[in-house]
Amino acid sequence: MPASSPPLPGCPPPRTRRRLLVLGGLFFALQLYLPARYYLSEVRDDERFTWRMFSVIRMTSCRARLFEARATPGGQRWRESELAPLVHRAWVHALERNRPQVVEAFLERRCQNEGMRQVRLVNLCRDHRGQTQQPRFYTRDCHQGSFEER
Amino acid sequence: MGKRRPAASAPALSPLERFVFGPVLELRLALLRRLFLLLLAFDLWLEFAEHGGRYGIGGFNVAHFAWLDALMPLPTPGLYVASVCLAGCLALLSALLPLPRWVGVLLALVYTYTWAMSMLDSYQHHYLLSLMLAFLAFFPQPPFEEAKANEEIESATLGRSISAWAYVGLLLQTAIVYGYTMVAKLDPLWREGQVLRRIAGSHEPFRALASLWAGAGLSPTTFWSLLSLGVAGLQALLALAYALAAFRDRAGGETWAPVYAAGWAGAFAFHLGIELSDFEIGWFSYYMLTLATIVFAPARWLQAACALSLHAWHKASASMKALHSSQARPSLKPALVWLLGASPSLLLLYGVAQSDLPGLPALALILAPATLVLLLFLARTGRTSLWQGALALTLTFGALLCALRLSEVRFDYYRFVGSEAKRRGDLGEALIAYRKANLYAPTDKNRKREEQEVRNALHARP
Repeated sequence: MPASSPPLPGCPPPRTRRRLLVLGGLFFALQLYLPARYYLSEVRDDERFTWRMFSVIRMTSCRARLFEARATPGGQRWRESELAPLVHRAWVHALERNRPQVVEAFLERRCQNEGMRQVRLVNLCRDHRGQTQQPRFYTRDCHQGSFEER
Repeated sequence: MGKRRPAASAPALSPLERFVFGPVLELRLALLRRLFLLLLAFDLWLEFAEHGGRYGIGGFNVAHFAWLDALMPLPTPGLYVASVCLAGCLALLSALLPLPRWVGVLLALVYTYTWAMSMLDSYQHHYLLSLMLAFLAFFPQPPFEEAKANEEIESATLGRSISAWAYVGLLLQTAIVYGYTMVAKLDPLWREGQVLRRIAGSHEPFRALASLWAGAGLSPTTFWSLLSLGVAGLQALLALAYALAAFRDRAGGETWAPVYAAGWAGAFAFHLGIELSDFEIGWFSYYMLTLATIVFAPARWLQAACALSLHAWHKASASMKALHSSQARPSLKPALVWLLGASPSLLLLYGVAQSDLPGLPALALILAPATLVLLLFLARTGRTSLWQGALALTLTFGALLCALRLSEVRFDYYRFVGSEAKRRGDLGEALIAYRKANLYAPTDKNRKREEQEVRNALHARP
């Protein structure tokens, strides 16, 4: 469109154009920033909104195990609980992918059970070559409400 | 009316304004909106609805945004199925009727809610579709009033160019997506070919290609590495082609014709490759192939393809107008026309409610009065005739009913519920679900064996 031609059908007036350009600029800055933030961060577990299709991260396979400490007359006793009956298998997969929001919400929910002192999720992972990686521990203290990852 | 005022001379546009608000072939917008929404409606009904059974199990959920968890109720199978079917109805109705912009915004919101309500759905392309729907909602509105004043407008529309900032936004968004998917492939594991080999290595066309390569005495590692680099290259090409696509119908746009042609071919190579590798991403490839075709195809090709369908549309439109004019007969009162128009849609909605999936009766209860109101709204605002509105509603609810009853949606829904309940040890629920799955099963896929296993396990229980 030449610079001084009559306006095209649908072309907004100058003031609306300026507003749209500002809004569009902000929107696309956000669209560029969100995935960039992921790549600049060291934590790579949450791939949502990053446009990582056919992800390398997915080549790591993990197995999640759940341990729970319940109050006993003498203090507390740890035992392993089966994950399968507790949630849908898709959530188990999300836990095994170390999705931080899912892990935190799941442990928080387990803490709501009567007599629960601590809950711990341990993810045992193998990388794409099948080599065992350092286990990842997520622990929630039900009384203090604290969450720890190591 | 009918006489056009001479256009006032506009102040000079900056280069950025010329890029964002410059001319776009209106036909591309109309095609993109209609085909995209048509695809979306059936995608929602046929691919999404069957997964409804996994929502709310054990009272556990994590939404994509924490504020959704705080504001909205715990997702349930009924809420999910109803939301998905509602979004599909809105999509098809928007494809068929000149609905106001807020319906497009509502569709984008309802669709976004279907995936954002839970991280059970973490497909990134669903997020992309939400962004695309938001842009589609702000496409220029069909000139329905102008069309009434000027009979020639429909044929002129084929070659008319208009300003469409939302279309340019959609192109830029797509360029960003392909750009970042390319960035993701700069990872050494991808470049070495290990990821692609793991994803596609066991699938026939890739195995055959790898064997051919090996037959020439070359190493498989080199093959997979080159193929991976080729994929990254294709994505870079697609990012560039979409970034330049706004110039497609503008003066000087022919300069980029080779890039558009390469982008179109690249989109087919990349997305058909994905389909061949059986990567489970639903209908994503078809959305992107539709987009690439409409964006990159030469204008004259699209015009030629549409001339035929436009001819058919004119004929249908003429008979509709004849029908519409018959409404003026004193024997047919408006209230009767309204009821006659609405009754097929209401009957179909009754069928939808009886389709044995959770959430559908509630959805039908909401849609029935909405149907009556929509018909009144369309007729009063003059956007379309009562009969055209009634036909679009009948087609939409008829399509939904067919999608639910003639496909494997109900079979898949109940077999998924059965298998998950069995895994969790809830044998009572598993038995009910498998019975229903067998009720809707295609003959070669029934779950009789699973039903019997669950029955035996229940009998064996003390």
